[in-house]
Amino acid sequence: MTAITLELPDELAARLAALPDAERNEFATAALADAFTDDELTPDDLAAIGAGLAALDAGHVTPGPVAFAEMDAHLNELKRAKQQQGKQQQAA
Amino acid sequence: MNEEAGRPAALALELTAPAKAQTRDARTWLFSLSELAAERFNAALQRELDDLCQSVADRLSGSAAGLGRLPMPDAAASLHFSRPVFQHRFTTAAGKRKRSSSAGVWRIFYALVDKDGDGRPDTLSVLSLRHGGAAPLAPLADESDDDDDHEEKGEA
Repeated sequence: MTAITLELPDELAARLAALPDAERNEFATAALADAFTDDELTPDDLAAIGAGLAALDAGHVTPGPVAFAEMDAHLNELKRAKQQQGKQQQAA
Repeated sequence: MNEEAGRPAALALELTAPAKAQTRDARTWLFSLSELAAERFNAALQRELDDLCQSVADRLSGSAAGLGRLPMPDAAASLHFSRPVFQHRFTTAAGKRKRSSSAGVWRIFYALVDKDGDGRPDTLSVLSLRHGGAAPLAPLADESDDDDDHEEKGEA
């Protein structure tokens, strides 16, 4: 059997103690799940997030529906290119 | 108002320019491995973003569907940038995945924005999309017999 210990700052522990049981249990469950998840942020991750934040602050954003339409169009473009390439190879 | 039993309306969704570029790169990379994998990723990403906008709205409103708790910011990213940054993980792998495998695992980093100035977030802004295996420490071994996992191994 393996014992798992969750270390918390005193202030956080005090705040958790004041929460209802359901919320405290949910926090504990999430903390345990995080403990088993290798989720460290690399320098590349941080750089990517930083670039996103800079774009957000500059207003360089696209509404979701428009972005989704662009994603679908890109996928169709890739498929067309692949079909075209296939035809050219057959002709060769 | 969402028609489903009084649920709040989903947050508006937007993608930053870098996030859009990253989804494009991911789609291109996956397509080079498998057209099916690229299609599955595209559908999963859109579905995941829509679901995320609704689930976060549920949490912010304190509705029954939202468990009454705010989303928890990603501690490392929020501390680094001194502002709340959230992370959501999802997978596109069709079958079972070994815990040690990053195949098909993606991470969405997002911020919550109050566009209308009423003091409550109304927009979910996607900052970045990262592949779970974006920085492998060693060559990826042949970990799974699942053909779907083979499609997404490697760097994004």
